[in-house]
Amino acid sequence: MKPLHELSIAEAGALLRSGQLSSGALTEHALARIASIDEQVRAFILVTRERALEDAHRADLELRAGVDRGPLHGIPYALKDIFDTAGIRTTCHSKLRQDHVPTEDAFVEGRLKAGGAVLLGKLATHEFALGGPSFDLPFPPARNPWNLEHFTGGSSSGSAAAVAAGLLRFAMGSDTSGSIRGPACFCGTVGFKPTYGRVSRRGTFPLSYALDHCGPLTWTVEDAALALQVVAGHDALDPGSADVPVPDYTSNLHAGVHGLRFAYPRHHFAEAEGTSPEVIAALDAAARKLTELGATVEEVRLPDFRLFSACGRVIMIAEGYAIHERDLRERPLDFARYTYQRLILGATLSAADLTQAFRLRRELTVALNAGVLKHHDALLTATGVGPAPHLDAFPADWPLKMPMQTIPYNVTGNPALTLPAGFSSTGLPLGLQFVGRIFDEPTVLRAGVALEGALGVRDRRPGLARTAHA
Amino acid sequence: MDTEGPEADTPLERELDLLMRRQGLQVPTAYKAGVLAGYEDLRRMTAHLRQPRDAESEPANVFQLDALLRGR
Repeated sequence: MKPLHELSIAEAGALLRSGQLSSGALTEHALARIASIDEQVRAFILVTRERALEDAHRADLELRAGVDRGPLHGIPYALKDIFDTAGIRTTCHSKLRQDHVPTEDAFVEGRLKAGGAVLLGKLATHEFALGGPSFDLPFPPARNPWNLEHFTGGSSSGSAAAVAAGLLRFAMGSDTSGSIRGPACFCGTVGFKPTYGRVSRRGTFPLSYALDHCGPLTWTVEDAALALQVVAGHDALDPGSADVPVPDYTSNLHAGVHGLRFAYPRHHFAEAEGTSPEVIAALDAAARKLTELGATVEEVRLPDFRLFSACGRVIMIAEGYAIHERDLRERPLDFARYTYQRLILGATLSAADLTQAFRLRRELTVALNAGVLKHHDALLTATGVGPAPHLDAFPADWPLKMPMQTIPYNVTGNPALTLPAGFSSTGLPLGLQFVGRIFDEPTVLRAGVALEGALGVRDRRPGLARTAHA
Repeated sequence: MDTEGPEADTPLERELDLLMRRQGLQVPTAYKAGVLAGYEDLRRMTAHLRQPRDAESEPANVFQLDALLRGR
């Protein structure tokens, strides 16, 4: 049998149901790994050991009594520390909320509890899901398990680092301009931003109402499907939640890509400033692999990437400023430098800027959905334009410019999945994205499973994840 | 909190200072250079937004009764 921490959700679930493994043993193993490895990775802000052991005990009793709460029953997980957890500190990784203890669970946490999953704790994030990496906060930033001197990406930094280090197989993150997919790319995990409205954001600290999404980070695409199955669904108390039936995300997962048509907007990343030739080569290889698997891949042109970026960033900064305006005015030095410097820019935007951004958003959404995705089943593109940068590359005064290829699909709301495309010559992961039609998560997951298998990138894990703690 | 920095010495910095003053904000001196760099970036972005577009480019506004009535 594989080491326990390398079991996928599906594999661990099968062993739990056959009685060959207990949730208690799985949880104890995870807690021991956290104790031995997380001092280096810094993925966790808070470990909820007692709660985890109680959850696991209950999960085992229920399974023995024939009560099966679904695919995450007995499976350990953790939450980015912007998801409210009743009675458990939820800090947003900020001095401004370091003693905040919510009285209610986020919708997602409620779903996971009801699904019998086991909460291991709360994970590092960039402060209020923006900025970073910051060293001027009450908690240190997470480190990239592939090389601890490199950036994790953000803002779901702890979620990606924890999965990559094999501390757990599933964590929740949030994504406003790429905060699930960016760290998943840099840390070599899978990250799935579903369609806007597919997963409720109630009880998740907002950054931008128009662009915020919640979704899972996992080691495999199949595990992302299993996790999404539990957290997806309508929530009448989230104004952005969509009342659209949730399909079975696993029924068609292994159908392959034969006969599917993929659009390939190569210009978006190949013409971007600073794109690594290794990323272009990895994406071209992925496109060829899809063709070998029986799919059609056609190069297309989307509207200029700078339009997507400008639209998304103006909306995000304007809404983020509105949310934090009072603290920015009254407690500016309680924010990390990078967070403050980004959010305060909202004060310089005009009503006309924001209105024009929302008008452009409609144009871009139509161009993608009524244009390219009318004729193609999904889109293949890069996630980052290079591997994770060294932490020393970040200037002291202003965040490093990293043109991730993620924000277009926050602007349009389409489902977007990132998975590893290969590795750089320095041994760091490179990422690719599949982007689907609105609410067509099943096709995106199906494509992800097919390419993940064909590229064979899942057997390679960070040395730290393999060698530390048996 | 140190908010009294040196006099602005570029048109861009004077513009930023004016916008901040209009909002009643004073950027801490230690953060000023980064805010100015970010403002320069943001100005480039807002220029992209200001292109001709037709009447169809209207933001969608969809309301759900359940959400509007919550808490009542």
